[in-house]
Amino acid sequence: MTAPLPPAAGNALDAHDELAALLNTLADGTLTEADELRLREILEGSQAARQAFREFATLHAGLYWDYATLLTPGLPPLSETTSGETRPGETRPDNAGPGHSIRRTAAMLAAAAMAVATAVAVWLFLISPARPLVDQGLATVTQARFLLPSDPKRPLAIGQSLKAGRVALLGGAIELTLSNGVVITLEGPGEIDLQGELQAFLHSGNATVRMPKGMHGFRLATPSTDVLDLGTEFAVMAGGGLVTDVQVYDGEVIATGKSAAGVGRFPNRLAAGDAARFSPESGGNAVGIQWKPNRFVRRLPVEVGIPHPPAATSLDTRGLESEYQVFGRPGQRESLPVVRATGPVEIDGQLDDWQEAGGFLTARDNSPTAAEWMDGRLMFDNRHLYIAAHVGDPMPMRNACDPAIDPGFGWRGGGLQVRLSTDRALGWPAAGNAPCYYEQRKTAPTAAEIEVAENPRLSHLTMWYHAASGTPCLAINHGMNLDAVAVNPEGFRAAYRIDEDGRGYVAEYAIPWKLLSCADDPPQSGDVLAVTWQTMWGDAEGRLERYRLYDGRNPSEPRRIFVWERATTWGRAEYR
Amino acid sequence: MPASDDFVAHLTKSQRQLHAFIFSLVWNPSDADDILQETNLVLLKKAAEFDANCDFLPWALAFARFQTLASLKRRQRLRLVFDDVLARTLADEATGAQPVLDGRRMALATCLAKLPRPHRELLVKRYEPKASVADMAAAIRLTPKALSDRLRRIRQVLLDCITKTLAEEALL
Repeated sequence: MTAPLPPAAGNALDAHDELAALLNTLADGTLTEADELRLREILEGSQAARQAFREFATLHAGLYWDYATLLTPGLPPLSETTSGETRPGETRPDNAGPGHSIRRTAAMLAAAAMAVATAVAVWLFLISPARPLVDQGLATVTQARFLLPSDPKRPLAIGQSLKAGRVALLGGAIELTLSNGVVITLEGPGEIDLQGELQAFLHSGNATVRMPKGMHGFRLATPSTDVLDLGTEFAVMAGGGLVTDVQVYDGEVIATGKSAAGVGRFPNRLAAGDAARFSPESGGNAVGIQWKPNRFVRRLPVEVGIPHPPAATSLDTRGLESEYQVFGRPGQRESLPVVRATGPVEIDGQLDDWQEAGGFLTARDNSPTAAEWMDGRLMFDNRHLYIAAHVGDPMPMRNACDPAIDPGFGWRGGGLQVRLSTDRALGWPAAGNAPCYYEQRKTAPTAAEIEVAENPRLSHLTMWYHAASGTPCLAINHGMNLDAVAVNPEGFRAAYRIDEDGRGYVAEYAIPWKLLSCADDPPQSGDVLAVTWQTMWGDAEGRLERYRLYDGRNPSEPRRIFVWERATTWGRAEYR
Repeated sequence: MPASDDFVAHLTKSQRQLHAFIFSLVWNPSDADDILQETNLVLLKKAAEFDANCDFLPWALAFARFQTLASLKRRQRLRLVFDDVLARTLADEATGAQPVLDGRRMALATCLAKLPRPHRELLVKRYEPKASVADMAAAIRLTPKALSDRLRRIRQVLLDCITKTLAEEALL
């Protein structure tokens, strides 16, 4: 027995009407503050109201979730597809009798999806961020591992630009980044035909496709299947005997088997965690197969770094918790969003103009009740990188490090460190090792590695508040050598504000791209570059670091490497 | 420790329920998508703590609730209607209601098929990415309230149809 709705002015019917009206205005974004309070009162007071709320929310969310399949323009009258007719090539399920509306629904969805496939493709193509095709090179070889090209007369190398055409491997794997940011990883033996920024044909072998954030509509065909991306990462195996396997890692695809007669089959919507096989044995229809996370090569790391020798830090005697404290915890966030600012950003220690920035929240031990937490945000525009953090800290803004005397130790009394690459040609992961990386491991860098390590577009930013002088501070190192530091360079702006309850603070920075060596070619929306973020908490005197958290770390790299030793350990900065 | 295959299977199977729950507190598709991804990351980090003998969904919904409220507070978008206590109640009740809600989601497709084409076309416009009632209303020279009333009637038809469909299913 559920409690009735709290009455409005009239009877129970009025109360239901009132709730329905409130839910609809909530859904349509026209709810007033008074409405919100009334809705809360109703929901708090009635289980029946909460049930109605759940049902309405399920409807509203379902309409959003199923938009592409159920609602796309061009959808034929759905009632026609429920008439029991079979289409060419369709086998009606034996158990699809009248009354089985849920099963009818599945068939209806398939039929509807077929009819909209073309419309969806066009629609997705239209809404995908358009970039001009470049004359010189459709793709760049961005990574390679154990590479063995099929044609010895056509060697492939990292950095090489490729025009549309066929890429064939006998062995190894290659990562190709198309000019619109789509990344294709092809395993050997395998052969792929690059046909355009949004189209390729996989003749044989394994390939994964990773779309940049916000982009949709890439089409990867095989001899027996057509896979249309809906904003995702997916893998395809084109095997012998016209067998194609499709596995989705992220987002969704529409995969359509091709019949021998050339008649299109019903498309199958596959979501993250789905895997399906298309083969002549199944008549070109999809058959579910086991989803295997490691079946395909998704990313080609540069040569993985060498972990820190335990002897150098006596780590083996300090225990795992201490190791985490030094190098960071496993499972740290891999990607940090960097959102284009839509208007002026006022540097005043308040985050009310950071609403659109997709922040990232981290807390000590991942505990929602921890006193040490950090809400970080990154934005950019044509002139600046903006960094902001709201930091939970019971002893905020006490850093005693004097920027004039110890600029290299600003992190120790509490603050932020952001290391990033602004080198658009370098992409992700970044490359570059500090000299100590080699020294600790008793190896020596090559001349090429030394040159890479001096890249001025690798920057290390240390940000803190010098309590004694009340000064927001910024120290910048360039390259991986960390031997020269610019302290409070001209042009940056910063503001700090302590929380009203004294248990946290806000730090806000605007850093001109020229201070990050890239004023001539700053990052753009769609770029994926390297970034890593550390938050440090100091002691009561602001002299010693007492805790640290990391965000943005390359999961392919061993944990026992300091982020300041090796740029390859940095995570992904996704510019939106 | 990486998440097991079983854990990932649970996670992927629960995406729709998690999305719907987050959505019910956020009421903004873009925010709901972002928070779902944040929740997924947290769940993967916490995979080792999941007791395989327990139900996955209640465990995951607890994290979704925390993640949603934290995210809304951070974005300063927390609605007056949803405080922590009410959100907890909704999460607890949503867990028990999942089988019914799953059925309602399935029945939605059937009911959409029965809608007259003009109504479906209006929904198409309303639920396309980044659509807003205010913009739609301006485009067809209606007040936002008038348009919202139209949408309300269509949604009510769908809600009634879903309830009826499930009742018919139960009788078969």
